[in-house]
Amino acid sequence: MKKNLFFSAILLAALAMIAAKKPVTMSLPYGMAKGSPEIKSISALTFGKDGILFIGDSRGASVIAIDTKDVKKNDKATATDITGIDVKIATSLGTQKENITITDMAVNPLSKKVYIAVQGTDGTPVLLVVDNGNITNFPLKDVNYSSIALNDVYAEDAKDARGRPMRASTISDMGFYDGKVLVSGLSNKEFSSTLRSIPFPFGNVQDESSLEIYHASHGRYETTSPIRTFTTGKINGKDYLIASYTCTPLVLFPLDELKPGMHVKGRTVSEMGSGNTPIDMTTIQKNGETFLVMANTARAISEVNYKNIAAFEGTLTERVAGKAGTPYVELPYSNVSQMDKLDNTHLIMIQKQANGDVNLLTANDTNY
Amino acid sequence: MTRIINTNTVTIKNIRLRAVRNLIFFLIPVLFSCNSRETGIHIIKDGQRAKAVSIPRNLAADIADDSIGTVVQVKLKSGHPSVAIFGKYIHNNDSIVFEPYIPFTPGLEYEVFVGNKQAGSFKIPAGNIADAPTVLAVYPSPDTLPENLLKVYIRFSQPMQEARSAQHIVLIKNNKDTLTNVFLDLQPELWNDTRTVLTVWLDPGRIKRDLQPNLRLGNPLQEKNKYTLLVTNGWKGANGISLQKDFTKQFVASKRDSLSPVPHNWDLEIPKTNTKDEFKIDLKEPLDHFLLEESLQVVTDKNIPVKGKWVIDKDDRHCAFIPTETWSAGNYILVIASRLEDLAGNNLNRPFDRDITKTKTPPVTATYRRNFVIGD
Repeated sequence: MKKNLFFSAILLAALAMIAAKKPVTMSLPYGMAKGSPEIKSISALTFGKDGILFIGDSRGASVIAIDTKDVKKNDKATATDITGIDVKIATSLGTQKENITITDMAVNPLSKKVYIAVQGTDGTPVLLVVDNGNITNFPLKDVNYSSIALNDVYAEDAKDARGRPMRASTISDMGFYDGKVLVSGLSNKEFSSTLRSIPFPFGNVQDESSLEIYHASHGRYETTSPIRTFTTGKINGKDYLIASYTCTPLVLFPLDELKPGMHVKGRTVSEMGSGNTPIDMTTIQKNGETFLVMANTARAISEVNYKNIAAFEGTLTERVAGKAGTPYVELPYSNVSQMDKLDNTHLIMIQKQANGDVNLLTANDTNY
Repeated sequence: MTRIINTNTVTIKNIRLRAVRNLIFFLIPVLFSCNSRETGIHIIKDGQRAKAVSIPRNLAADIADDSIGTVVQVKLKSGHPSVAIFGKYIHNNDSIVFEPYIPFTPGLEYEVFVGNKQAGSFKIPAGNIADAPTVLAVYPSPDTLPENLLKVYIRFSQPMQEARSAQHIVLIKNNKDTLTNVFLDLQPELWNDTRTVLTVWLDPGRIKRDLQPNLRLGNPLQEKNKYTLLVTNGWKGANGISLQKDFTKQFVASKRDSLSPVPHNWDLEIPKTNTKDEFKIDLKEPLDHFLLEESLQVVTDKNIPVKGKWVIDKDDRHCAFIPTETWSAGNYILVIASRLEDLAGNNLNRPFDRDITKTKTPPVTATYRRNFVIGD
């Protein structure tokens, strides 16, 4: 009897250990499992529905969906301003500001909390949350998550000199539209980009597309063009991918025309100057009108009225002196490295000041 | 019992197998001296990284296990006194190990607090200059490059800190003018997976004909001018130690290259049967160093890959395939991926920019093929 009890105890202990090791998979939304996702880098962040945060991991060549459980709706966002946010983040991570890089920022549209991705000198990624001016760490262990590997479109026919499959592109931006995660990637080798559309919840079969996107400058020269940042928006009742390129043209693609493997030509509606790389793009409301807002590396935030984009029905076909196409204005915010919309009328951004401070600040239409 | 506490959540979790795995470094820590020999605080290293700190449990003897994450705090000595470092506490009867979410920084000093009282301090030794990164090479290698050069690769001896290229890469014209708005300030930067090779693009808006930046400013490079690419010292490696010396590469700009490479024009040097002779190719122009490594393949006429390795010459204009086995007589095919580019971004399918008023849409194929025969 004692022997039986002993073996039963051993069996129970073994089962308990197995249960402790395996992630709990039952009844979690979106096909998620509880566990600790392997995240090698955080290149891009975007929110889906219900507080689901998508993390673009360039080094891991994957997208990870995390259930933040941050779903308490906040109808009135509070303006958040933190002077020296780089110093404050660095101190919280036990280092100095020159040893960290803020890699992306996204606002949870439900709670209006600000999620900031940071990496240390050695590349270790960390996810932080700013809520009411307080910075806390968001633990990426023991969370409900699912992930999908970004298959390299060239891997089947190309390997490098050491026989390894080519790595996936660097993730340059992500968005969520109509139940799909949109991921733009830049290659570190050839001059090209991919735009993948991945249904969520992630499936067993990866339904992704790789689009070769072209634009024509003034109707004469045509080039493939790597997308740097994008958003989605409605123009004349139709949904568009609004993309900005590494060479700054603003180009529209009807979302219903983006199909896997397609060679798609976009409609260039604006050229936004030189020596500049677009960083982030979003849509806000101001005085009852809708505006596309774009942050840039080398100039102030640009603002384009959707009404003007809709009115510019052609493509840039003639040489125009200066900046060409749909008119835009520059908002009084330069040296912005990260930007998202806090709510429909407020922008939140990380901006380097003339005195060297790097601040998190909120702007609304009364500021400009 | 060993317990794990996250400082941000302050929830206690029972030990699990994964935690045991994490604790392996407890058993084989690399302990080395710190300035708190009397307190028994030790730094735990993982390779070159100061991954965690071990604090004797008796320094917090009066603190209940459940309260360790809130009462015991590690702070940056030069930081704000109210800010505790985010991280994870693991403790047993003898010690408390604090693992920050990013490793401790070489050269910085930290304090351990139990409540409001400083219980000890420790300093992470500054890195050894012998471990400093260096620039191994810049590609393209040739000293004459087309004025519409599209990209430059910089290969480092070890992984580097990201998002610093704009401060450390400079282009100087004719030994006197430091050029601005030449490189694309791309965030995120384009690194390889080990963060040892960085791709830097010259501003494509200035290279693409007819775009406003091109019309207003012209190419970043101009034919017949001399340029110096400078990678400045001070750029930190992932180990926290900075590049000690500047690196320079000098070159002259030649005329614009607006044509796609044509594999049909390449000279092939066919090896002899029953030898391991190299299969050599003269590409007739320098091509992209890293794409070359990935774009070429030799297969038999049955489409079976021939085992071997590719070697790219320093001039990026010649390359050779060295077979693992001796060549057998037969028909072979050199398969070339169409995305192979020259130095101006012209690939095998299409030039970098195409005048659509003068040329037809080129065919798009995944590969190009050159047949060759190895005879008896």
